Amino acid sequence: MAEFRFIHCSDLHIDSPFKGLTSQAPALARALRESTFNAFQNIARLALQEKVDAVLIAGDVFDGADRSLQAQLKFRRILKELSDQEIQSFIVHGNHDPLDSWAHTLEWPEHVTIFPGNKVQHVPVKKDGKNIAWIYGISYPEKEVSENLALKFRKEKEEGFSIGLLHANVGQHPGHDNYAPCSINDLVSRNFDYWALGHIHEHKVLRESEPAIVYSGNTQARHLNETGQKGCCLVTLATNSPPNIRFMTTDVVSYRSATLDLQNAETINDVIRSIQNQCEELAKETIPREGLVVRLNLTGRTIIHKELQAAGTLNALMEEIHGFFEGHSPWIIVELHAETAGTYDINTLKEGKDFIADLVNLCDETEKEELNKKIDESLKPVFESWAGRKYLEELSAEGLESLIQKSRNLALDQLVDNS
Amino acid sequence: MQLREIHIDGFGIFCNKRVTGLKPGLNIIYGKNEFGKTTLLEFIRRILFGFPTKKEKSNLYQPVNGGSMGGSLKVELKNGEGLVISRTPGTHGGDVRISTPQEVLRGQDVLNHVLGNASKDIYRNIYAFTLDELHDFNSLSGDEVKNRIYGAGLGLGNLSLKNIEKDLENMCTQIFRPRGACQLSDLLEKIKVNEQAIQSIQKNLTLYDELQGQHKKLIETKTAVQNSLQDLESEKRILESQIHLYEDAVLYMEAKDKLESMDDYSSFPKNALNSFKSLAQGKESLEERLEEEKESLNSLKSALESLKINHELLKNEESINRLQQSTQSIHSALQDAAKVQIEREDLDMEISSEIKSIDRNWDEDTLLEFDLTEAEKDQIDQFFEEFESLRKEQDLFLDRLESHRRIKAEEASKGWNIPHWLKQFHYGFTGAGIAGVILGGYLGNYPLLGAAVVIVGGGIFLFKKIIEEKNSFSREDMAEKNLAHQYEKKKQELDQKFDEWRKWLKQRKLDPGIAPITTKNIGKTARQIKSMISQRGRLDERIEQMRETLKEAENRISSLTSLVETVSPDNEILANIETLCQAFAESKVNNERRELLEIQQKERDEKISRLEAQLKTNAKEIENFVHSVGATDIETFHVKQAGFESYQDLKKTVEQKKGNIHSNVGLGQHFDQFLDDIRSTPLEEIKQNLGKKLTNYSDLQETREQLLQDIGETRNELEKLAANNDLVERQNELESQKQELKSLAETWASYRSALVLIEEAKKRYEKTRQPGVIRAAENLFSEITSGAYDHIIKPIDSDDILIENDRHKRKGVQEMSRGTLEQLYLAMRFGLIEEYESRSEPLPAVLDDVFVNFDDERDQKLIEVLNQFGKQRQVIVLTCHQRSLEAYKGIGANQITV
Repeated sequence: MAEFRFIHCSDLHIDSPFKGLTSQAPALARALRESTFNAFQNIARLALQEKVDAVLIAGDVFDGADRSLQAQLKFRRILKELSDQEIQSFIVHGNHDPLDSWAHTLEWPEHVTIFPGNKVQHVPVKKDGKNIAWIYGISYPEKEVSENLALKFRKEKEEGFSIGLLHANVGQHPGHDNYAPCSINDLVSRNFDYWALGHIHEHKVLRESEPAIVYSGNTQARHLNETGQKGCCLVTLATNSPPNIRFMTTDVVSYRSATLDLQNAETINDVIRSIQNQCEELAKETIPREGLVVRLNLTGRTIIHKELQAAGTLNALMEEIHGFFEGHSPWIIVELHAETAGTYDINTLKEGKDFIADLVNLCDETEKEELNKKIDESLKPVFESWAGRKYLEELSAEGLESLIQKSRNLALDQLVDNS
Repeated sequence: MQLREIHIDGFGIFCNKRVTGLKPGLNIIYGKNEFGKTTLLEFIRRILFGFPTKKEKSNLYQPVNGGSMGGSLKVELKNGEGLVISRTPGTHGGDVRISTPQEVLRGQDVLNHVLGNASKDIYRNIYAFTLDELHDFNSLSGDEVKNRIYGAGLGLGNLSLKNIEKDLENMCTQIFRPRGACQLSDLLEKIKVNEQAIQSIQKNLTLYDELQGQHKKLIETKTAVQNSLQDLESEKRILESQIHLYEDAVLYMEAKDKLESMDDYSSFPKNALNSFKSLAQGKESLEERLEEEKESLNSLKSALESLKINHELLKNEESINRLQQSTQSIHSALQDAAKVQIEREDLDMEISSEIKSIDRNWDEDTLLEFDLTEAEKDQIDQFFEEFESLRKEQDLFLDRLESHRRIKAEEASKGWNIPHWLKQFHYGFTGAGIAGVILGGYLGNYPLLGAAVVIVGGGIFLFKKIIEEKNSFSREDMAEKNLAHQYEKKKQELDQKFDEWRKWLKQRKLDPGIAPITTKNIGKTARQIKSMISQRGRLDERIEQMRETLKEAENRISSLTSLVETVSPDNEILANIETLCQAFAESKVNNERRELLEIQQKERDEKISRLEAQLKTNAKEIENFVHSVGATDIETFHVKQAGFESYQDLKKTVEQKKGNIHSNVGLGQHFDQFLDDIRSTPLEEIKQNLGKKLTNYSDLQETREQLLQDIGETRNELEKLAANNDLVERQNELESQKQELKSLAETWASYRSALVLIEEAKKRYEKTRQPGVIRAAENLFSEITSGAYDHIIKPIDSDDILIENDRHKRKGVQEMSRGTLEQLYLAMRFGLIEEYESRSEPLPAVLDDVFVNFDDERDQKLIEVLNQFGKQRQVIVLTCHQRSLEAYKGIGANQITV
């Protein structure tokens, strides 16, 4: 059998909006939004550069909820470029871009295969007139697919390599919706050479060979919880040798979280300088293609804690930082979280015999069911009965704990007269 | 600080009052009602914290018994330092001085420092109070006092927990409230608007599909319509060209038919007419020229005939020439002859008169003989000069003689006019001198002698001078004689010279009486007359010459007279000469002309014969040409030519129309079909057909326009949908808003739970801790009430105070008896003082009869408590009760007499 070389990618989420506070830098919001598309462009560039035989896309090309015609037109343009160079593209739809969410009349370029949603279809990859591989695939007809789609795959052709293209949650991966759930064994039992999977945003090789089972991960991170490099897999299948799977980065924007200890900061200017330095440091470490989104948690006991807590201070700081980095390459967006504390010493306060000691001790107790309940109760008007509650996240146990700490600091800021 | 002495200058009823002997610990001042206890209390308060202003509406305690307002307190500080604080009225509470042994300081600020920054309120409410003030609940509610009570144990310093809670609550409400506007609801509203907008944009996706389909259909329809339009267009074009070319086609067919029925003119030369015309034209011009030549020959001939020539005269060319040459001299001879004759006669007469003017006896011959040589002329001049000089000398002597005689006569008439005394003066003068000499000599006076000698000299000189004058008169007569002699001599010389001159004249046969100058003039005149005589000779010669010239001319004329009619001897010579010359010249010119004309005549003759030959050739050519085009003669040639021309016209029409139709319709089959159609269909019918097609065409065109417009609109719509960036913008905005919502909700949650935390902490605090003030008061109160109440409770968020008995039963302020309440407040104040003094300069406590409502048991207890209390500080008790005085004295209190 000949060699089959292809790119496996998934979860492009082209044009999905950045999930974070971008009102700070509207111009960069656009850059952020375009990052997913630019990442896909990088894949196409890689495909042309490496002269691959095919590009496999394992679902979630778009964000269903945010689907736009423009995104589809952009996507088609790239596919056309590949098609013009005789590179075949294979696409299955995932939970974010089920078949019912696409524009039907959009005409796809010649060498593009979009798999149907009703059954597994197989399409050959031709090279020098020979079928070097068969791509099997099935799309999500609608968003929620609870069926084990893996079981629908059946090897139909013996010639060439068999590759399964599937958007699924293999092994009930936490943190992702459990769509088209299946197990590794389900996949192994299909007797394929390679499973190109999508859905999980982290690059994972579940099995090295016979068959190789791979999540390529998404091509571009979209929020601060998706840190680390993002990209696609450049795969070479050859007879009698294990698959060669190389992870290639494609992302143009990197996301980093860091803490910044402001213990020694005495003025807001010190804070600004520290943030600038930290950002530059991070940019040097990360070397993103276009831009860097940084979440900075400001920590430490500092005498300017109260100032930082004041309404509008963080926004002003962010504005200042963005102004500073304007025109910087890579561009930098900073999201600041103030987790600083006043210069008072909690332990000393705890030892006191006064009201403040009572308050501090109240928060630090391990058993505080009653307090938790009371706080929970007090938050209900917003988190349970308010019309906008659906946009809010439910308060987890950790969330509550952190809230209590935050509130404690807030109360201490008011109660402890540092002057 | 403790009081040692009180000095009142003037305050209320007090005037110049001194209270001394105040000691540390318990002091008791006894006085009956109206004694001025409260006044004393107020004095201490005001000296320490200032006089009230009139505006404050409190008792000003103006001195009623005299003395100026104010006074001083002698105090001792905790560190043993003694001070005097004095105050007089003034602005800002009065003028206060703090005198130390070293210096005097001024101002409330300094005093406040000494007082440990205790405030007026604190002092008034807890240190120095009356019964009324003790009882007044509000006096414990002053902010300062309240803070002292409540804040002391909270560890919050001056902060108000209530305010903090209020602030937090405010922040919560700003972010969220169940009803009404708040940040969260505003944001939610924006999110909803955005979501709706996004939804409606996303509907465009199906719209896009629909439009795509629509677009495709429209394009198909448009193509079909376009095809029908093209068909109609070609049909329309055929009909239009049929109409357009109808006339041409008809003309073409007619012409073609005619042409076929005509003779064949193909061999007829195209330019026959031109060739014929040029031949005929040649003939005409030849004939014209011949005529012209003949005419000019005739005129030449007549000119020759009219010429007149005198051949005989021409032969006498030499004579004529001579005559002509002599014309000038004849003319002058005729004109001058008489004039010259007269001139000669005049000259002749002048000559004879000139001769006679010299001498009557002279004739022409005498004159011709007479001549004066140059030497003779010199002689004449010499005579003349000598005469002149002799006569001048003679005149000179005569003049001198006459003038001498005249002067002599004048002198003689004048005489001697010297005075007589002067004639004798020299004698006198000399005499005086001599007398002087004598006198001088006599006297021996030398100067006088000298002067007398000089005077004598002078007298002698004068005498001599007069003698000289007498001699000159006698010499004058000698000169006159001499002069007369010389004059006579000169006269003789002159006469002698005259004789010589007369002799010289006689020799030359001249009149001896003439002067030398006249003689010289006669010579000159004789020369002039001689030149006149020779001029007369020349005139005679000339007259002769003239006569000869005329003679010769007359001879010649007479020899020619017969040749010319107009010449006759009767005419003037000059007229005859002129006539002859004219006749000769005329004949000569005519003769030359004749020769020229004869040559011309010969040339003409030759030319005429040449033209005649040409004319003949031309006639032959015409004849030949006419024959060559198949005509018998010129007339038939013209008939044939006319036929040829109409043949040509028809042929041209056929070609032109055919070409026109070809270019519009095409060749071959199309052309034939077209002609057939024209033949078979009348024009009207074609026009009707075209009308129908045009209507169809415009209908279809309209349909197509509409389709194009629809397609354009659809495409625009599609492009708009494809290019719409609203969705992206909206989605970005929405995401941002959602994040903001989350973050706001989190902020709200943190505020809200901070409030919960404070609430819970408060509960715990109240439960487990109470402020130190309350705790201190609690002990005192328990002691005063003999343990009836062992707890005082101050709820953390209210100003209420509760007491709790041993059975944990709580009582509010309203439920307490007056005495118990007073005891509670007193205990609270003592608690406060203890708490306060733990950090500050102790101040003297002054209690103005606050125990009146106490029962004996509790009064006794209080005295004990006070005794204990006074161990650490100064307490001054003012009372009007003898019983109290005794009781306090009983426990060792220091009694002060005022």
